[in-house]
Amino acid sequence: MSLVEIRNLSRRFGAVQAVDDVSFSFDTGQVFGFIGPNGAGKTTTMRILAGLDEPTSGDCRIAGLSTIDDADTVARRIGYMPDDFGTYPNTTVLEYLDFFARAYGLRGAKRQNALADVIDFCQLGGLSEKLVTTLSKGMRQRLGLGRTLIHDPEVLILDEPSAGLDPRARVEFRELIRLLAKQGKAVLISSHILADLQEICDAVAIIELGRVVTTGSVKEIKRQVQATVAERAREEGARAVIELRLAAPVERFPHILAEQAEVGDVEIHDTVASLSCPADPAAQAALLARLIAAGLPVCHFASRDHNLEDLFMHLTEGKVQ
Amino acid sequence: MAAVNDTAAAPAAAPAKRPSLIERVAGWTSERANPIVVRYARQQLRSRGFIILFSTVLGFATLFSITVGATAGEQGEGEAAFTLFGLLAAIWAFAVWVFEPIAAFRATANERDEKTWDLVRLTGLSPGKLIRGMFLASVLQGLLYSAAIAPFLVMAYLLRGIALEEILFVLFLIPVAGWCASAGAIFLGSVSGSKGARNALGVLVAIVSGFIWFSTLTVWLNFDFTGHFVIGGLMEGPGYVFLADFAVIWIGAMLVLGATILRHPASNRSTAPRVYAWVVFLNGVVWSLFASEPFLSEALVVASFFGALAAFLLGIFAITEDYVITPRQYRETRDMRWWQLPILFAPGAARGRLAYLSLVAAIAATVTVAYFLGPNGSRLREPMVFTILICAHGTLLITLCDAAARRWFARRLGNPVMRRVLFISVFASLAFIGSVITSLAGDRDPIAALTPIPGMWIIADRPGRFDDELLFIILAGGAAAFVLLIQAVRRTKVLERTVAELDA
Repeated sequence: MSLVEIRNLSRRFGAVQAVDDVSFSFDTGQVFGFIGPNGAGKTTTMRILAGLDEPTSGDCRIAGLSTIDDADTVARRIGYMPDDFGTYPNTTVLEYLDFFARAYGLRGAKRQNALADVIDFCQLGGLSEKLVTTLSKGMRQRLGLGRTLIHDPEVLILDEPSAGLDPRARVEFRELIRLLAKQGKAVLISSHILADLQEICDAVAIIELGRVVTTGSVKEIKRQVQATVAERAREEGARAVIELRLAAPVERFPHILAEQAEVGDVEIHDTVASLSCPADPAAQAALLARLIAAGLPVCHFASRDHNLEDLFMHLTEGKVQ
Repeated sequence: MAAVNDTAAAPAAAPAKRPSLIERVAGWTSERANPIVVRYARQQLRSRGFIILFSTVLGFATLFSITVGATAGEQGEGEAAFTLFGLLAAIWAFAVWVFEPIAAFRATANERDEKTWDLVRLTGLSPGKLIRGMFLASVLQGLLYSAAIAPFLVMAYLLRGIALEEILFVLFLIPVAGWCASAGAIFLGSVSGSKGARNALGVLVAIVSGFIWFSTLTVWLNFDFTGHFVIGGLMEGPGYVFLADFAVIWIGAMLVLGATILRHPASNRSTAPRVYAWVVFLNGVVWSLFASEPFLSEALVVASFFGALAAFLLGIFAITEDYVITPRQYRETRDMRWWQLPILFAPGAARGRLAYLSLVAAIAATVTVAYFLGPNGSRLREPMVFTILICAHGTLLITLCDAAARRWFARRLGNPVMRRVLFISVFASLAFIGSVITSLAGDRDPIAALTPIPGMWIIADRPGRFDDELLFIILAGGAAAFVLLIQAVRRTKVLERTVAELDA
């Protein structure tokens, strides 16, 4: 049994089915990515898991305890960081964390230790006397993570934690999440920046229109998609995107690519060209032979590898409710 | 661990001084203090609004003292004392009647407005603790203003001409009224999750509290005359007791309702208001028992009257609940002990009916006892008739509106909120129609006597003239109560069967 299990979860708001029979699970030390377009039902699912909302049907379990039936017990084991959280005016970073530590019932030395640990982990040391309203987005997110960790929960639910962060802050945040997973936390994270998730997730679920389209490790999903792509390639007229790299700038040989009847949608960036051609492997081999014979200095000729963004685009249709 | 080793290696230091009792008590209190109080106090002490107002209160108090002190010789010390006292009371009242409620409202509303509410809920901090924390923080802040103004009030007393009782009364009245205002503001701050509604309520709080302060300015600025009059009137007899009791009831009601609204919509939001309605009634009965013999029946009728008002409000909310309960409510009901009287105080419209009927029955019994204890043809008739009519009209109208909302208009009014809206609309419309009939046909019209509010006045004010109408309303109310009882018994059985299935 996994630490976190979501079983046949559904949530309806009037006529809108926000979450429809969603099931997935993940375990201690894992980072689980939750991917979907806006309005797909990610936040609703996360709020139900955090105990902030009740499902129409289905259940969420953490260590075997239902977040609906045993909401109060489970709440202590969960740290939830919403995509947009409020702060209090005229409150310093230390006071903000101290308030939540007190609210979680931490007292005396236990509270002082928790504060010191969190400030150290989230690198908030130099900011502890700063007013929270004056913090930058990156610092605010670190503060939010600190608040989420103050009671040392087993499960972290992070809703779009890196949205709006600059690249450096995103990398730092990613590192923190990796560290947390290494410490044995189970992390559920949603993000629109799919490259971030690809780097840190052990598994992902892709959700659209409230339904899980697919779930599994990024590798597994890649394999599934590639199998589908290969199957489609065998169909007559199917096309694929090829990445072509030359020893010289591609613009020197425009006529060679233009002469190939089966090549289309050419995009050139210096020595790299992306082009569309028949998906049939035999046709691709013939094309490569012709390009070399025509004097093109080819270094690399391959179907483009699917990253998480491709998989997401491939599996979803971009529909919202 | 490194820190521990370093300490061990350091040269022998002087033995640590044992903290004093005061330090230990302060440390213990600080650790166990409501987190909301700690945070809010820190926030407010740093806020520009508080610093400016506190300085202004001190500045004006000093200025008034110097000016009045300098002119004391010309106008006489007694008059100077009243002038200074009135001015100080006015500025103090502004701080605790206007500024404090607005600050308390904003703090409560911001708790939800700034998306921090979910985070606070996750900590397990109960809404009750949150609301109490807000209130206590507001009280603390009010005490700071009181501390600032107190030396100047002593100075006013030392000028002579003003009685110590009057100073004590104002020292009691201003903060207590301020606490009542803050409690009301905190309740309003918790009422709505919508930003627009909160903004509108904020304006309302500012206008009402400003208006109350402004309208009492005459009292403070003419303290030598009105002060004697108002204070004399209140201090003769149990004025303090009534005020304190009313304040406690009001503050309690606001805090209980505020906390109830902030609870999770799927959780048990019924028990606290139901218990509180009973507390309002029983509180009055207990006070009555302390009344001396000739006033016992009168006090019991007054207690019943306030109990009837509480029962009326309880009825609106309890009877219009849904019959089915949520899983969370089921769980909370299951965890209730027998002495918590789940049959009355557990959620659901079936038990809501029993809670309402039981309170009305207790009120009816108390009124009957008061009737037989009281002197014949006594002055008790008017409040007694009011009490009976509140219960009868309430029972009749709530039963009819609830039945209409559940049967015929279920598609549009199929939730508790809309059922309450229907009831309040019908009640207000009938009261309005009664007022129109009364103004057109005079107060002798029997149809007007059948309407709520104007009808109650007409029947209570004309002993013997509208006895038939009174009897009709009582009988109709009794029949409605019987219907409610049948519904309660049937629905409770269904609910218990469902719960048994869930348990199985």
